[in-house]
Amino acid sequence: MSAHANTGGAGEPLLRVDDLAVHFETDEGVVKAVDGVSFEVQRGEVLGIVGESGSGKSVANQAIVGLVPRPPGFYPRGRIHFDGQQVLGLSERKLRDIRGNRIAMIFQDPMTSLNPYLKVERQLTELLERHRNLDRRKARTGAIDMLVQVGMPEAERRVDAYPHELSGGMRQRVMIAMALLCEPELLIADEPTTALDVTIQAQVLDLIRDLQARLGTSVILITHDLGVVAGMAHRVAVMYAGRIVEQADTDTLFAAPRHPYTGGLLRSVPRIDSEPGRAIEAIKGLPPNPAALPAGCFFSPRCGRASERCGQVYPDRDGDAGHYVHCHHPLSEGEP
Amino acid sequence: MTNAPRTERGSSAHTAPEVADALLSVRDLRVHFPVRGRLGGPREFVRAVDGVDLDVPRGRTLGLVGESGCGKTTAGRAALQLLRPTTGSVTFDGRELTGLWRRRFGSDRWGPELRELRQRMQMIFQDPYASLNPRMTVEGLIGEPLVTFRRAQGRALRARVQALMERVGMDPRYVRRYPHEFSGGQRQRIGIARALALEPDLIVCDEPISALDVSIQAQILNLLGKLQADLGLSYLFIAHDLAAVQHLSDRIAVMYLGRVVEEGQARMICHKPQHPYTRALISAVPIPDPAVERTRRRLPLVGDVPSPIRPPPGCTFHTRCPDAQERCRTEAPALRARADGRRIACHLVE
Repeated sequence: MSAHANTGGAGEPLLRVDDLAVHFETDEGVVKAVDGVSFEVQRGEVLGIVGESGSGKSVANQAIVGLVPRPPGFYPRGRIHFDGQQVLGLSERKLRDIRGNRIAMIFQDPMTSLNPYLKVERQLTELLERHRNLDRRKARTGAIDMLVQVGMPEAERRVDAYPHELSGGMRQRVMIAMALLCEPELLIADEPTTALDVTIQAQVLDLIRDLQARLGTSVILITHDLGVVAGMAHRVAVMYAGRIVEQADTDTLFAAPRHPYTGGLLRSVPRIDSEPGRAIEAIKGLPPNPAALPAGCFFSPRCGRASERCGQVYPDRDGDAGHYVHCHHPLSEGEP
Repeated sequence: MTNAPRTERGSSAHTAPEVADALLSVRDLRVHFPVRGRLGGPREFVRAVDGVDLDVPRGRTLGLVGESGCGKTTAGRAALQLLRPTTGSVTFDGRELTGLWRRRFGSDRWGPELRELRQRMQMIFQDPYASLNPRMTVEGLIGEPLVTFRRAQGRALRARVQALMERVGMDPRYVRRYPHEFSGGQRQRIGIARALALEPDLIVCDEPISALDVSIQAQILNLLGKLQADLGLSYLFIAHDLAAVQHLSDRIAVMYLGRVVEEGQARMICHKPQHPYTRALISAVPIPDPAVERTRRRLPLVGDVPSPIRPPPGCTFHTRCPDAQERCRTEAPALRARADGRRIACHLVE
């Protein structure tokens, strides 16, 4: 994969998230959806964020673009620097110049981004007119060009279609075209292929990989699918119950995971290239209720390595920026 | 569905030989749904299932895979007689099911013998929340089939329900709780316990893990495997997640546009696919191993799946097949047995 060679160089990261916390007021009390998350995205880098539902992976990224509904959401602490500028809690007006222009998002369900009343053309030209000051005719040409780039069959005809007239894969392409239209510096892809069939998923991932390599876009790929991150990401952060529990470059994370949760996930997924009947090992129990997190390490009630200390003290960070883990009893290399 | 098109039906030449130890056998199954055509135009049909053969071996698992709209769910439902097949044969434990329907009060219903047989054939659904009545307790949900078919009541019913809960790994003390009090994985266990209540021989699992979190999927897969080993169940396992299907299946059938294009041992299908569609499908499945992912070559598919209302002539895959030749555009390939025990519908594979 050529994308692997394209990791951003040293210097100031494009995005720096420091100690971000996103909490929600609910009837059950304060839900700490994200609680002390820090990560960086270099220019030209693909960061994978892996986690299950409720891990906070989507909410953390919604905070970057100001999409957390406030109230009930609030930010008790944290900073997000995008290209040196603090963006957390920025006014909606200021955010609008960044969102869709310098930072774009794609979602699992394309209909969350597409306006069902507008033709494909208008969805795309509106962005170009707003952020790039193009006139209507130039914008139409630009829209068709982008549709061709994202592999839309019969782009010249489809530009006049309404979203409901397109298949799921084609809608996904329109959404990606919208996201890439203004050549954003950062693309946040939140489960971009989860609703798609595998052959369409492969097309969409190829598309993101190509454009990323060609334009040097930074990508945050949020997914529950370990197979998808394995093929796409340079670096992976694993989230559990609102926190990052492990982060490493992709090869290291898959070959030598240190957090028992990461190791457990890897052992629990069936692989198409394995022998049939190969045992998969499930992680016991359930992810915790975010309104009632357990004491100590949040994973400890499900962890086979947990000691008394794990149920009392949340583990500090162990390791350097290249590979770190929050665990009192991390796996050592070669351990299952 | 009695007024379905009468074209190319019941051709006995197509019919595959009976598989010796199949619990469920499906032959040349067709399910066509009428759709509103153009005004004044001819009546049209969605050929959701268009000539499918399947065999579920006793005590084993047949995986049925394919992408959305390929007809796998409809085929599973028609096999269970949850909808009436347009044509074709479905035999369960040697008995033909399709002739056991009765027409009453203007609609198709199960006859008494089908009602009897159907107790031995159950289904597990994708979304346990949608398939469980939210106003019923776990006891009501799991016990309902036992009450309906008068298998148990009173204290015996409670004991039976609690035994089923233990069997699927649930705490029997939660017998009075409601579905919303459980997580998705626990709800799926309720659905499985309900399916087990009448001690079936066959369970059709329709996407049983795709709505669940990754760490829970393995729990349910392992539970299904254990139940099969303990109870001798036969599964028709319908899913789009090929890795999960391979994990649980002895054989796999791959569907495209209402037909089976390749069928064989799970390992052969996943490791050495032969049909051009199966090859593209398998190559698109991501593998959670960056070293492997870097060296893999995808076989991209161009275009979209054609409409099942007017499927292309000849091989229905020819519009997207990288190797299609003239013959593929005109002549539909039959699903033919190969020396290695698999069956493939392709002119180009020898």
